[in-house]
Order: sequence, then C-alpha cells, then structure tokens
Amino acid sequence: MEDLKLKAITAEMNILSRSDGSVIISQGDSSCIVDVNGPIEVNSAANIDMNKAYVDVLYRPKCGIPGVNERYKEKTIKGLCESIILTTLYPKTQINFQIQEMDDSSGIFACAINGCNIGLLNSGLEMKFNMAAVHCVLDETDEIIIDPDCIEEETLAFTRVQKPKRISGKYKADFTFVFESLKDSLISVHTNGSFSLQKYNEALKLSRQACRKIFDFYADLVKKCSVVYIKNSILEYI
Amino acid sequence: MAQELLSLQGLRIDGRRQNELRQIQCRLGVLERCDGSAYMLHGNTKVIASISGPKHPTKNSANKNRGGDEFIFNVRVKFATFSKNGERQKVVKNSKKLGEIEINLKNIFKSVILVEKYEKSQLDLNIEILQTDGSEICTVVNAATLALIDAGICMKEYICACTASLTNDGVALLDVSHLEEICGGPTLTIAALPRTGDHEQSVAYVELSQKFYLKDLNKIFDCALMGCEKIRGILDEAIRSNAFELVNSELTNN
Amino acid sequence: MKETILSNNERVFVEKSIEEVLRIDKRQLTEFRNLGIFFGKKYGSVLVSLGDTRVFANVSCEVNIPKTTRPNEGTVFINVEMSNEKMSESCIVTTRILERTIRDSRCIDLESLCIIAEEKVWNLRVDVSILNNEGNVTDCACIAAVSALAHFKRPDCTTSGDGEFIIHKSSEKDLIPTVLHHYPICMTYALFKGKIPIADPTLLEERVTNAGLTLGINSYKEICSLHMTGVSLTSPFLIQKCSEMAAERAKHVVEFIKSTLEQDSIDREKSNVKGFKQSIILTNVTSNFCDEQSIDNNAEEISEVASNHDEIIVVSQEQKFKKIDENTISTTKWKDENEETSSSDSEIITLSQSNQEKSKVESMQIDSSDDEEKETIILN
Repeated sequence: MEDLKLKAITAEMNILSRSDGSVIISQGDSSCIVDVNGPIEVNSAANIDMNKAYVDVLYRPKCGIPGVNERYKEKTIKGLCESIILTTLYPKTQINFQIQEMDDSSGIFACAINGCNIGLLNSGLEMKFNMAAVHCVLDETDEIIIDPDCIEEETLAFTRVQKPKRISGKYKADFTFVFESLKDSLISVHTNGSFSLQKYNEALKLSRQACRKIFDFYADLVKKCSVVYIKNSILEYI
Repeated sequence: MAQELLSLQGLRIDGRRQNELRQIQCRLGVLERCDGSAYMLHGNTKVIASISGPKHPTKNSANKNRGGDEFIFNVRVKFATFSKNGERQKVVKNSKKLGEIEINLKNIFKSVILVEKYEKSQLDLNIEILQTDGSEICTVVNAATLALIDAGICMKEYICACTASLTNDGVALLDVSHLEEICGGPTLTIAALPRTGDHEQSVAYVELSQKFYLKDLNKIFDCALMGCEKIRGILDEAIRSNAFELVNSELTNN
Repeated sequence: MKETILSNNERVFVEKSIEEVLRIDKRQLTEFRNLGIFFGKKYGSVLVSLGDTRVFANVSCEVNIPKTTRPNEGTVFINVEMSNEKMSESCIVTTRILERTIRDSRCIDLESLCIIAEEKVWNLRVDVSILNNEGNVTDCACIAAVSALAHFKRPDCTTSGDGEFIIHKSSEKDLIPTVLHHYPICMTYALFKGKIPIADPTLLEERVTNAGLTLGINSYKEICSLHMTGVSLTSPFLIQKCSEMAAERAKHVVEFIKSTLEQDSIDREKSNVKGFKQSIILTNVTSNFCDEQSIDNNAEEISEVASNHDEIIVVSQEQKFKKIDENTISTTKWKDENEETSSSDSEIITLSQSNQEKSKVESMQIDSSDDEEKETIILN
C-alpha cells in the first residue's frame, strides 16, 4: 500500500466577533466556516425542552438554497453534537450551529464535523469528548486512500440543475468515519457507494489511526491559546 | 423604440416641455369608512391611499414591537393585477420589491410625522396602485401625504415626491413617464420637504435607477426639487379647497 | 439571535463623541476600515472582510429560459442570506441595493451570456452569505458580489444548428471569464442628525443613528445607485458631498480588487493556489497549522479492545442462534429454529451504521476456539 497521508489542516478560531465560538478550517482542499452560538433563547416554542438544550444546525451550501443533501448533513451533525454537548446543563435554551461551505472537494463533510468540534471548543460549552472525522475513499484499484486530493469536479460551477455526483467517477466508494476521543471508538459512519466488508474494516482501521492525528491537532490548537488565558488569569490575581 | 426624448423643438414624447409636470388631479376623503383617504391621478398613474388610525395597537403589531411604547406604523402596498400595461400582474407573496417600497415609505413618513404625539398607538397605511405609467413611488408618496392630512395626523410639513431624468445631452427632464423611463436615461426619485430650503435638511428619500455621471447630480437634483415645489403647490390647493368644502357643508348643515 | 439592547448611555456617548469629531475606534470620520479579499480554489468564490465584518459570496451558473422582454440577454440573480431571521428588513434592503447596483447598472455584459436567443441563456446566480455583521454589511456584500463575478469563469459551449448545444469541460476548452464593463462599489455613510456623515459605520454606530446613505459608484465617477436608509432628513448638498468622497474611494477599491484578481491568476498559473487558507493568520494565538502527516498502517498504539468493537466479522449462514444483548440497537436478527442458547461467553458484535441514532457499540467476546462459522449480522 502506498504511503498514506492525512492532508494539511489549518484552522483559526475566534474569527467572527459576534459569535460565541467560530472557526475557519481548511483541510486539504476543502474549507468551511463554522459558527457556534449558545446557549441562547429558543426560537420557537415547539422546541423548548425543559430538561436540556435544543441543538439546531444550519448547513449552507456554496451555491443555491439548502436542499435535501444539506438537510441530511444537518441531521447527522445535530445528532453528533447532541451527544457531545452536555445538553442537560443548559435547559430551555438553544445552541445554534451554522456551517458555511466555502470550498468543496470531496472531504467537506469531514471538514465540517471537525469544524463543529473546534467551534465548540472555542465557544466554551461543556463537552463530554472531542470528535474527529476522517474521510477516505476506495478507488478503482481497490486501494484505500485517506483524504483524497481534490477531484476535478467539472460540473461544480452549476447549481441545482446539474448537481455534481456524490462520488466522482473515479472512486467506487467513500467513507466518513467519526471517532470520539476517550476510547477512539466509532460514533458515526457515513458511506456512499458499494464496498466489501473487508475493505470497510481496512478503511476503519486506517481512519482510526488518522483520527489520533486530528485529536493531537485539537490539543495543539487549544494549548496555544490556553497559555495566554492562563497567563492573563494569573495576572489578574497579582 | 429609439425615440428622441427631446425633439429639436424642445418637445418630449408626450408633447411636454422639459420642465413641465403631467396633469395632476387629487381628491381627499374618497373612502368614507377610513379615517383618511385620498385618490391621486398623476398623468396616467392612479393611486388610492387610505389611513386607518391612530388606534390601539393590534395583537400582531404589539408582539412584533416587543412591548415597547413606540409608535407603530404599518404600510401595505399593492399593485392591482390590471395595473400594468399588457401583462397581468402576478400577485407575489413576500416580493422583495414591494417589501422595499414598504420599508422606504415607513422611513419617509416616520421622519415627518410628529411621533411623540402618537406613542402606544398604531397607524395603518394601505396603498393600492390602480394604474401605472411611470413615477409610481412619487404618486404613492403624494397620495399618502394627502391621506395623512385627511386623517388629521400631525406632520412637520408636506412630503412631496417627484422624478427627474437626464437626456444624453445633459438636459434635465421633469416628471418621467413609463416610456421615458425605459428608453431614456437614469431616473432620480426624490421625496422632500420643499419649503425648508436647499441647504437645510429637506430630503427624506432618494432613489436612482441606472447610472450617470457625478457631475450631473446637481442638475438632476435641482430639477427634481423644483418639481417637488410645484407639486406642493397643487397639493396645498387641493387640501385647502377640501377643507373649505367641509367647513361650508358643516355651516349649511347647521 | 436577539440583539442586545442599546443602552441610553452608549447612545449618548457615541452621539456626543461624533459631535466632537471622535470615533470609538479611533478612525477619522471619513476613514474606511481595512479591506481583505480572499479567493477560493474554485472560480467564483470569495471571502471579503471589512474590518470585522465578514461576507462570503459564490457565483454559479445554470442554463435557463430568458425573460420575454429581453430574449437575447442572460440573467443575474442575487440572493443575500443573513444568519438570523430569513427575510428580515435589513436582508431585503441589502438585496435590493445589491440588485440595483449590480444588475440595474448593467455592469455585467448580459448579451455575452446568451446561447440561443429566446430559448437558452446562462443564468448567473450570486449567493452572498453574511457571516459576521460588525457594521456596514452592504459595502462588504457589494464588494464580495462584484469580486466573485469578476473571478468567475463559466464553461464554454458550442451550439449546433438544431438547437442542441454542448457544454465543454474545462479540460476540453478554456473557461470563459465574465465580462464586466465597470466595477460598481457601494459606500455607506451613516448620518448623524442628518448633518454629519460617517464613513463605514461599525455596528454600534449604525444602531445609534439608524439613518444612512448608501451610494453605488464606480471608478469612472458614475453613480450606479443611491439609497437612503433609516429615518432621516438630509440636504441635497450633503448628498453631493458624500458622492464626491465616495468617488475618490471607489477608485482605490476597484484597483485593489483588480490587483487581487491579477495576483490570483498569477498564482493559478504557477499552480500555487492557496484557497481560503490565505485568510488564516498563522501567527495568531488562536490558529494552528499541521502539515501532511503519514499514517502508519501497522501502528500498535491502537488498543485491541477498541478495534474489536467496531469491526464487522464476516460469518456464514449455518449458525445457531446467538443471544443478543438487550441493550444493543439491532434491527434484524436471524433465528434458528432449533434454538440453542449458546454459552454465555459467546456474544455478538453489533455495529450501528445509522447516523441518526446514538450508536452504542457493545463489545463481545468471540470464543476463538469455536469452530462453528458465524452468521453475518448487518444492522441499519
């Protein structure tokens, strides 16, 4: 098997001044901005939950109005965030996620999930664990590739009429695995295409190793600014 | 379609001179059930405006206002389906253009109505445009002014609106019709308080379509402001004669 | 999200300081904030920042039927989305200002977008998304829309005589850039008491005064649109003055857009497209960068327990029924008619592939000495 590589990740937190938590994340060729707000007042009375917070996700695609694909992604991310956030600490409130897709190569879903996690870290909401999403594909030669290169999506200039295929012609299947940080166990899988179970297990194993790298990235990111916060808080005591 | 906006003799497409207004007719108190109403005819543009209020705020408006003590001013503008020449006008919900017109009207009138006198109350303005032939916003603003006066709402001054355009040779044309809008140059719409003078705060609303050179801004502005003055005279006359009639009819009744 | 209430103290403070020619963020009355334009990897997407206000715009194209009144011109559709309410007042106003400045001023050459007259034309769709509103969203949105249009390249197409046409891939034929006659830029001035114009108001200044004047102007000193927002009365003299100031600034902004576009095309030729990463300031404390990392296929760090949790073990069909633990979320189970409860040690590995349910993974021990082949259990 070739040397497998996880693409370069760049992220900056706190970029939107009016949000509780925000991040711009660029993973390989995909990039997105995630905006976390909460706890805030609930929008509609139907969503008020006396015991916990209501999580609302809005996924904005690059072109056009959000459609069924976006609703699907929103639902997935909502489920993930509900399990991460200690929602019982914020009853009768709402936590909003807004994801703006900026550059889409095939790994945008994983990028968005990672962005949501960093956004949560930045917002100061209580979390049970971190999550990391890894995207990998099964190409025609039955090789697994983690975080593939940008696929020349010819039709991406078009809006709804000619929506790009979910998997580009070259790949047989693609997987997005989401892991949690406590025991590296799998919390969510999203697949497209057809694959054998053996390949699935291989992809899972590789992605699990890749997710460690992403958790390290989060740790580095937080370490940098935590030093500043700690220094500042010490200064207050002096 | 490439007709000359201004012929060699100085006549426009409809035979007017460059600084002539179209025929304006207005009547106040056309609808009996409303607190105030007005009907305005400007060339071929016909508009009916009606005011309901000042009254106790309705539940909906009170909710939107979130419990404040402010004066609530609701505006609804509607184009009749038969208003445009040729095609039937489709009724579009949440149309952005209509939404913008409503917001603009709200802002224009809030700047002249003496808001302190109408706290905790609501005023509803309904505009129905029966026929369009250019300068609709102008006619709407003028009709609304008349309706407000008919309803007895306190205002600082009359708000008059007028349009002006520019030919290719840089001659300013007053009061553009629909044809001149389409095949002509840029159209400037102004709603202003004509009496307060040039350097004072007098302009409440400006709208521009298409583009033109910065140096021509002065010319076109002056032309439009002059038009506002003329319209003010016409409105004033209509209001006074209406008041005169009312007083006369009261006297004869008694 | 509900906005916080503006206190009277703040309002009075801002008004008084403006009267003394002082702004809260130390700018001059006519000074604009820093402008940053970052293009993405794909043609037509751009992120613009004006101070702290951030706007993302994207242009896409589609083949459509033209308008009946203009059968040989393409169409442009502009959509502005804000984060809070869907069709709030400010959203409508911003959309209309953009439509007037960009569409009605005819800055795009619409006739070049025609494919077959009266039947098929290109429809350019501009989606503007307001990410952060820190004042003066209109200006930022306008610059974003114009830059995105200038950056966008549409696919080439050839028409055959029968009304059929072929849209070519970028590998076959080069993409065609949009033709812009001029670059209209919006400038917003907040008006304090109708007399003092403040360039590029921040959110606080906007909320205090509510009144403003937005001018759309291009680098040739042509006014493309004029719009007064909020409740105010101004003099025509002031409007004239603002237009002149705006004309000066418009030249600089248009030059900046053009130079950024040039830089982007140079980068693309060198295949050095950075995309939106450029907007991330790596020297900040809040940012981090991690280069490509290789993944070791045979790493032993991963605990065996974890890996055994999730793998699906393939089994064959001749199988005795195995007890399924009650806590697992499973939707199918295969029962053997001769039910034999197996030993308490043997359990079943389950994996939930559903994204919606919170998946629980139960670990089961597999009796490795068991020679029997096991069944596949696939769950939804």
